[in-house]
Amino acid sequence: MHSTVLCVDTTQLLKGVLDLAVLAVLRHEDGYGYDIMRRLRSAGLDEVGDASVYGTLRRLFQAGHLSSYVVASEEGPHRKYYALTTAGRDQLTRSGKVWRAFAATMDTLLDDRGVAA
Amino acid sequence: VNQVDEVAEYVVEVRAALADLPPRAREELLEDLPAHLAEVAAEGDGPLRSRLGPPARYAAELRATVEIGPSGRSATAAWLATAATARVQLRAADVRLGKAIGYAKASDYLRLLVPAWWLLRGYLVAMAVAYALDIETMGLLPRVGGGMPTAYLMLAAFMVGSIWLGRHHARLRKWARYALAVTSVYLVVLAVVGFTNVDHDIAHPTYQVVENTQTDLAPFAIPPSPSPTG
Repeated sequence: MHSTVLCVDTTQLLKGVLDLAVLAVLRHEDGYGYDIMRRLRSAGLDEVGDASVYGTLRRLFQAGHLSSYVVASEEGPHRKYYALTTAGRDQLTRSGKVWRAFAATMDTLLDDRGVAA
Repeated sequence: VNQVDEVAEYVVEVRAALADLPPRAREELLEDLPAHLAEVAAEGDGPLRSRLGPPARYAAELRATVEIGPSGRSATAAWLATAATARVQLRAADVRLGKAIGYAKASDYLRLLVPAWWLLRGYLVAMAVAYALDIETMGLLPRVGGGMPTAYLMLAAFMVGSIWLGRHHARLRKWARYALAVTSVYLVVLAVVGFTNVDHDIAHPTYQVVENTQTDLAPFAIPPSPSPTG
């Protein structure tokens, strides 16, 4: 038996919340893979990788949270746009609440013990 | 054309790195990859390999997104997720409410009230027993046959019993604890109904009571004074 203590880094945290982040950046505007990654990065998630975004989009699509449509582009390849479905919007609302409650709990936990922000 | 080759080559290597996945899951995962990588390639400069890193690393990252959550979630998993959400929200509400009343958690405060609940439970059981024995006269004390000393004695006995039960709760069998929980719910319902009735009776004394009072008082009523006769 051995145990591992993981240092919390953004990549580890991101794994758990990438679904939520992707749903959130699609809330107001549909987007295609590369564009979604750009939105995530410009929102401050610098560590997010292309494979994570692609894999997450596939999974959300298969779960019925996203729908897709192809838009022809004059120069370059067609682009596959993703849009939130009703189930996706519900999921965004639910997961958003869970995340906020969780984040608030962690904040309180750290605040109570004087851990610097 | 060179770009198409570059994408195809990259996809082949990613697929090779995921060879251990079940074929169906792998193909589902890779289905859109050529098209996606073509988009990526069209968006920026430089070879795909230098922009996305080696295919093996890309595959590892892709694999991680699958492991987080399988696409087809069962009803049980969905239910468990909902339950987990509810628990997190409940805990957050516990902390928020606690802060409002000056405790770390609202449940911390409620825990302090548990012995008080034991007392109340004893009282409620005494009332329930009194009610079962004597439905006619229901007040605020467990009067059986109208005797006050009996009422207080009964109250004390049931309260002590309830406290003892509270202190020995951990030692009870599972079914006994379950029975206790069900009884508690029944008692709370009984209490709400009982107190509402008593409050109603105090606020709105019924005509019957007024009539009874009059009848009771009748023998002592001053008889109409005889008319003066002279």
